[in-house]
Amino acid sequence: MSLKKRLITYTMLIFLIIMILVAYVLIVQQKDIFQEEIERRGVLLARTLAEISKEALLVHEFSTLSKNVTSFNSEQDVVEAKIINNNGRILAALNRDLEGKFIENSFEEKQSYLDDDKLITSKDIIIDGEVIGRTIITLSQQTLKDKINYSIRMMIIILAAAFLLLAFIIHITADYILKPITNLAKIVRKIPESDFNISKLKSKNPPLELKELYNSVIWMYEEMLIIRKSLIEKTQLATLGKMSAYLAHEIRNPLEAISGAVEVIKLKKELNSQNGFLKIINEEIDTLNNFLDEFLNFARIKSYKFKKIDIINLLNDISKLLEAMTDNNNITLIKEFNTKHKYIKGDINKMKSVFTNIILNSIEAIKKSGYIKIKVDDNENYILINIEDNGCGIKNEDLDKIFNPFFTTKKSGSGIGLSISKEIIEKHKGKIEANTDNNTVFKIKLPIYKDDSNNEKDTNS
Amino acid sequence: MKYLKKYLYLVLLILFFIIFTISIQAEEFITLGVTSKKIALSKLESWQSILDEVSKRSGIDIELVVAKDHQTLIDLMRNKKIDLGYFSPVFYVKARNELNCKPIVLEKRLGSPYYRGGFIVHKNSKIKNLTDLKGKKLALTAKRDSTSGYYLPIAILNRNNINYKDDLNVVYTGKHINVLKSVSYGLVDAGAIKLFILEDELNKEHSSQIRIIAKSSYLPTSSITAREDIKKDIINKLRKAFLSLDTDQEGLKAMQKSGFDGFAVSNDQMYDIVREYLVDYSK
Repeated sequence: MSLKKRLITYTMLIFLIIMILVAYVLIVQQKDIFQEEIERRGVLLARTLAEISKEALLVHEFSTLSKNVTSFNSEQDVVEAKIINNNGRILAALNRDLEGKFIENSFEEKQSYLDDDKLITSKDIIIDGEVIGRTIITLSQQTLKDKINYSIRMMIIILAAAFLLLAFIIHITADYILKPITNLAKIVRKIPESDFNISKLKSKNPPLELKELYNSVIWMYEEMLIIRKSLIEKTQLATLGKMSAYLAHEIRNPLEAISGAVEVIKLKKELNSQNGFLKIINEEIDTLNNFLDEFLNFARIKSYKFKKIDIINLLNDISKLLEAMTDNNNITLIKEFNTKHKYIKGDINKMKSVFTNIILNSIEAIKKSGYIKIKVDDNENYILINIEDNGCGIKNEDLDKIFNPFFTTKKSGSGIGLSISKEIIEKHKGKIEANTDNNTVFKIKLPIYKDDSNNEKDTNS
Repeated sequence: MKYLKKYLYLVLLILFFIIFTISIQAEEFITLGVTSKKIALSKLESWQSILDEVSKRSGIDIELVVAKDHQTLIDLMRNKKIDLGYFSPVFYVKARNELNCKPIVLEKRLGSPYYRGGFIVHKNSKIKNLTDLKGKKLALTAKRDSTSGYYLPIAILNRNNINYKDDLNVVYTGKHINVLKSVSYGLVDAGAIKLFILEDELNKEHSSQIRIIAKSSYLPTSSITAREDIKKDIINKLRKAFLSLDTDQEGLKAMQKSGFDGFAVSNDQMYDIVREYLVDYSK
C-alpha cells in the first residue's frame, strides 16, 4: 500500500472512530436532554391540570374538568389527559368515551413509561392537605424520537460530508506532504545512471525530519563511490598479484634455464666469435629479470617489517644513491629539510622504493637539466614530504588515474610503480597525492612515530 | 276594472314592502343579552346562527351581548344596555317585577315549551323520597343563578319542611350535567336537575344510573323578553320570525346547535307557577 493510501486510510479510520464516538455521545446527551424536557413537561402539565381543576373537582363541576382537560388537547405530545377521583373513576378525559369509567391500573404519583414511547405522569389533586383526585397526563415520545432521528440523520450527513471533504483534502495535501520523500525516491532511483549528480539531492531543502535521511543518502552515496573506487583498485591489484605469480613461474624458470645455458656456452668458449650475441642475450635476460622483479615486488608487497625509521636519514641516503644519476642528467637536487630527525614506523625497503620510484620518475620527466626539490615539513602528528620537479608534468585529466595499476604515459613503463607506492604509503597509514600547477608535486604525508626513546639505535644508518 | 284593481293591489304591496324595508334598514340594531358563566364559544355560536336567521326573517339586526349571570343581565336591561334578554323562569319573574319587561317567545325543548325539575338519586340508593334526604349530600347547580337547579329544588324542599342550609350538605356543581354525573358516579347522595337533560342521547350513560324521586310541576322554559320601551311592532316582527324558525329546514338548521326545537309565544301568565314556587322558596 502506498504511503498516500496508508495516510488516507489511517487518518480516515481515526477520524471515523472519533466522529462516531463524538456523534454517539452527542446523541445520547441530546436524548437525555429531550427526555428530561419531556419529563419536566409531563410534571408541569399534570401539576397545572391539577391546579386548575382543584375547585371544580371539589364541587363536582365535571363540565369544567372536561373543559380543562380539553384545553390540554392542543398541547404538543399530549395523547391523553385524565382526571380521576379517589375511587379511580375517570371524571374527565380527552377521550370522552373514557369518562365515567374506572382506570385499569392505578398509577402512583410518579412518572412511568408505557409501551416504550409514552410517558405517564400523575399528580395528586390536593385541597387542604387532602387528596381528592389525581391528574394523569400521557405524553407521546414521538416528537422526541423524531428529534433524535433527525439528529442522527443530520449527524450522518455531516459525518459523510466531513469524511469526503477530509479525504479530498488529504488526497490533495498528501502529495505536498510526501513530496520530499517521493523526490528522494526519484533521485535515489537515478543513482545507477552514469549521469547521476549528487548535487541534485544536496540542493534540496528537506523538512527537518527527513534531513537525516537525506544526509544519510548523500553520505552513503559518497561512501559508495569511495568503496567502488577502492574495490576497482583492489581487483586490479589482485589481478596484478596473480599475474606476477604466474609470470614468475612461467617466465623466470625458462629465463633461469636460458641464463644457465648461456653461462655454460661462455665457459666452453666454443663460440668465442659469437660473444657479442651472448652479451645481448644476457642483457635482455637482465631486462626481463628486472621487469619480473618489479612484479615480484608487488607480489611480495604484503610482507611488511615495521621498524623505527629516521626519515631524514632515509632521504639523505636515497639522494646520495641517486647523485650520480642526477649529475649525469644535469639535474640539481635541492633538499629543504625544515625539521630535524623525525621517525616513522615503517618498512625501510618499502619506503626506500617509494621515494626512489618517485625521484626516478622525476628524473625521467626532466630528461635534461632541471631541478628536483625534496622538502620536508612536519606538524604535530605528520611528516609532510613534497617532491617537486620542473619536468614535463602530468595532464590534469590524468591526475586521478596515475595511481591506478597499469596506467602509464611512458612508452616503456609497466604502470605499476605509483600504484605500488600508494599501496605502501597507505599501509603506513599515510597519504600520497599528486598536484600539478606549473611543476609536478608529489605530496606524501606520514604519521610521526611517537616513541620518545631517542637513544634507540637508528636502524637506518 | 277588475284587473286594474288587482294591479293596484300589487303595486301597493310592492310599494309597502319597499317602504317597509327602507324603514327597517334605517333603524339601528337591537341587542339580545344572554348569560354564560364563562365565555363559551359554543354558546355564542349556537345563539349566533339563530339570531342571524331571525335577523334575516324579521329584517331587524340583532347583536348578541353576553353577561356572566342573570342579575347582571337584569342590570344591563335596566341601564338600557340591552334591548332583549334571555331569562330563565325565575329571573324572568324577577325582571318582570323590576323592569316590567315583555315576554316575546319561549324556547321549546323536546317539542314542549314546558319542562320539569326533579330530584335524582343513584339507582341503587336507599333514598325513596324527599324526607330521606335529610342529612345527605345534595348537588345543586349554581347558587342563586339557576331556576331548576337552585330556586325550584329549594322551594320543593321547603314545601317538605326540609331546610337546605340546616338539613343538607349542599354542593354547587355549576351545571345540570355535573349534578347528573355526581349522582351517577355516586359522589353525592342526590341532586336536583332539569329533567329533560336525561333524555339527551349524550347523557344516556348517566341517566341509566339514576332514579327520580321527586318531580316539580311543569314550568315554562326560558323566555326572550323585551325591554318595556321596545316598540310593539318590533316585538311582533321578532316574535313572528322566532316562531317561524321551526317551520322550515333553514330555521331548524339554525337551531341545531342550541338544542332548541323551536319557539312558542310567551306570556306573563305562564310564569305564575314559577311565582308560586318563589313564594315557597322565600319561606
